[in-house]
Amino acid sequence: MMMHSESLEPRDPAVAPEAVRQAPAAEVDDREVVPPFVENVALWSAIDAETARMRAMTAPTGFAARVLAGLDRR
Amino acid sequence: MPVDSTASSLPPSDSADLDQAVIDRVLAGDRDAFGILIERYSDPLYRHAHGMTGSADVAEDILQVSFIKAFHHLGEVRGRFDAWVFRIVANGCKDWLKNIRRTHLSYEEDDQPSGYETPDEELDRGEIRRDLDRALAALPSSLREAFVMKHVEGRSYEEMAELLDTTVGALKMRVHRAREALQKLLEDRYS
Repeated sequence: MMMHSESLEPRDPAVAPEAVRQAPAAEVDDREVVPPFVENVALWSAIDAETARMRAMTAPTGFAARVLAGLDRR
Repeated sequence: MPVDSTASSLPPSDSADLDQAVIDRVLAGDRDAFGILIERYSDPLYRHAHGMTGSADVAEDILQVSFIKAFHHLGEVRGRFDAWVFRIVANGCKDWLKNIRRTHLSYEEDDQPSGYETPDEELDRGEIRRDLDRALAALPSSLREAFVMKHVEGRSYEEMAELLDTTVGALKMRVHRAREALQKLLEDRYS
């Protein structure tokens, strides 16, 4: 027996209790706080040493002369 | 005439004045004066291109094409030459990355040339360097660019913001995300 005319509404907990119960849980998942980034000290020590070496790189010897020569070819 | 390559270490306004004086000479017909600008800025720009592409040969090619393009459009410089030529090089790197990724799109994951280096270049590198290049290659170009500018080129966030026309806060976030991603990619090997 139909209790009232709104009982077929999907949002009605009497008709769709599972969906109603799941919705708040999904929202909580969306708001879940991401754990703070904890740096791996040993890894970053190795990376920092490598980037320091990269920072010392220079353009190849004679580069400017090659560019100037390239201007003549165009 | 000896090459003056000191401008890159001067305050921006002094450096810009020196650059403009050279630009005026080049535009007046002194083509070789362009070599002064190349000498001043090729090292930091080379580091950028090398960090972005992971290859010495590709970095040199991009830099050479960029300087030639800069020479032919020198009359269009408005503002700082170093920022202007940086954008040419940075765009060259991004275009190259787009092309190389498109070229290798159909490859299996293991076949992708993550560092894009030649076999000889790869042999010359240490293990951490190879792993770092591969991990950097896996990052989106905006994160890779921010990490390279901060940690390889050693630029300040303020300088990066000016060159990339964005905010210090956005760049700090990009570097942070890059570090998180790199750690995730490398942690298993170096834990």
